Amino acid sequence: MIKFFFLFIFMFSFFLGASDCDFSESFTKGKETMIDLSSLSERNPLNIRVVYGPDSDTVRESIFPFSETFKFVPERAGIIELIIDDMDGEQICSVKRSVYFDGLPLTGILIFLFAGSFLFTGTFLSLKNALKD
Amino acid sequence: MTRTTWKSKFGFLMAAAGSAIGLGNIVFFPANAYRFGAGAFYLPYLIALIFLGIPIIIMELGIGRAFKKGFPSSMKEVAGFKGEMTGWFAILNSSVITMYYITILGWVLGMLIRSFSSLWTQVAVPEFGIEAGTAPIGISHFFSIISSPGTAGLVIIVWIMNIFCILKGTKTIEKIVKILVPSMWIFMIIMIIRGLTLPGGFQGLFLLFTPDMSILTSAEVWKGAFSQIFFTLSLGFGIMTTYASYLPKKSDIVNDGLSVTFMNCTFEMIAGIAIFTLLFAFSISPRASTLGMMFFVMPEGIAQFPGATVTIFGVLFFTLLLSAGLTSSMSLLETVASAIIDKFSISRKKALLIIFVVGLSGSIMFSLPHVIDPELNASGTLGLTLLDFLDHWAFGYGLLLTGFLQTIFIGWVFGADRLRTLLNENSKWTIGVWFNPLIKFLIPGIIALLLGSGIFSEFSGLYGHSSTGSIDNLHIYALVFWIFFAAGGSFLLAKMKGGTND
Repeated sequence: MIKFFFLFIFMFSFFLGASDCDFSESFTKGKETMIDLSSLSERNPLNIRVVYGPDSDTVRESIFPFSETFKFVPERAGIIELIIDDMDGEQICSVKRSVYFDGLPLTGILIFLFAGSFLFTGTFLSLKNALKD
Repeated sequence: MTRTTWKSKFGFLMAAAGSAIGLGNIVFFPANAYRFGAGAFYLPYLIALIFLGIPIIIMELGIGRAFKKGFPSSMKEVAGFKGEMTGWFAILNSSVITMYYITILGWVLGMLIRSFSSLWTQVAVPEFGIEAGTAPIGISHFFSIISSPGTAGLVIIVWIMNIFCILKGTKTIEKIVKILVPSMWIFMIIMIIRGLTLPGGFQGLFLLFTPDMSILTSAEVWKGAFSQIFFTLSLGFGIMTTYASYLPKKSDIVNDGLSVTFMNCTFEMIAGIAIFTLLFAFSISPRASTLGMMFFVMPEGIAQFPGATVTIFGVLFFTLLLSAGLTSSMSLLETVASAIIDKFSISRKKALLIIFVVGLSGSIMFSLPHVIDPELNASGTLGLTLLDFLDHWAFGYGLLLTGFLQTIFIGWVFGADRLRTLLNENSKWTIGVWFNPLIKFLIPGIIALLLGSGIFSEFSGLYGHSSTGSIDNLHIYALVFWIFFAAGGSFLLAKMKGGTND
């Protein structure tokens, strides 16, 4: 049914969020992508943080020194957050992007097939039996 | 008083599945799956389904069919006074949940009405200092709705809809669910097709099922999976016992339990796919809660659809939420009505009038638009703050506590062997002795662990986090009210002399 904890924390983070970084590159796991960050160089940028799986319990962070042309090779597919910090530790901007899988993820497809066949077969068999009466 | 029965097996299955399939299936499951390593969440989830979900749902259905009474009266047959007290505790606890659940459905109705036009444009909410264009659309509209006195009107409409749905008991419930439940499946399939045809849509599907195995060693993911199964199947409310009490004696309860469970979890899986395709396509991480997912995250995603499809899918999404919510809330109300009718032998109309007056007052309290925190450090309005705190106790602890006591009484007082004999009476698939240790040891043990870890985290501050001064007091008042209302009330009701049916 339902659960609401931390509504206020969620709300607050929306309003405190830094502005969006202005770039539109798309990413694929393991493939290098050049990101042009030259427009931010006047704002004393210090580093670039890449957060894999933001807001999840599997969150992982990589930190890179700032460079105007950032060569980014995503380590994981999924949702990522790119954050640019300045010298004072404040966020200059942040943006969320999706990282594509490099091909078909075999384990993911196997789990999909297993869970799908378990649940759909269970539904089909039990409903068939129930409605037979 | 003659007890009505379901006209058809299909009607019962749709009603029970409709009860289990609620708002949480559509939004809370995907949020949990994302939080706990996506595909890696499926392993503990399926284990929880087999070892906790299926046995409890079969047990709840079993006592309902055996005694053909509502939850407190059935539990009285199981374990006397203590059993009946547990039953009334479940009823009073779920009454609190029903009151705010219907308030939330009132907000969903508000969003549905707005989704026909204004929801997709920015709105200012001066009460919270939100100017047009400064907050995402979902947030601004949600706070505009909850801070409006007119929302009470929406709550009244949802209450009337609910009372109409259960007016003639199984007769009206069956008619409504036969339309709503299949419609929910159709709506969800349309959402999946839309999601998969978005750029990167299939990547969302891959993301949902590709595991991050490193998380499997974390206790949190297992706790999350077992809690998810407990809540998603509507266990601990007494709903399944009530619905099964309207079944004919010769029903195959084991198969019925499996049907409801599998339908619920299959729906949850397809909902997960639909939501994940959107999350990936629009790079949204589903942080926070069910409420956040429903009113902030999903509208944020849908708003990015091209052209007129925004309105179409917005309306579809909120209609889906309202339908799922209605089939759940009507089952909660029927459980309360059945308990009152059984205990006091009063007419259904009188019972519904009592429920309507008391319940509507509670729901109006949760929709109080008075802004107590314009900075949004807390939940903003008095109604939402009360809702948040009571949900913490009633939903977070009340249901688990009922589940724990129920399994203890059925396993140890009534006897696991007796229960198996009841369950196996007309079952095609019979339950073996392996069921006994599950009911007597494993399930109460797991629930005790979930409860214990929750209580432990209370010592780390409000919701396990450092809190904001005066809000603490309201949190404690909510706890005191909940203990007096649910625990004190259940003692009084169990002590009361009943009518001829009791």
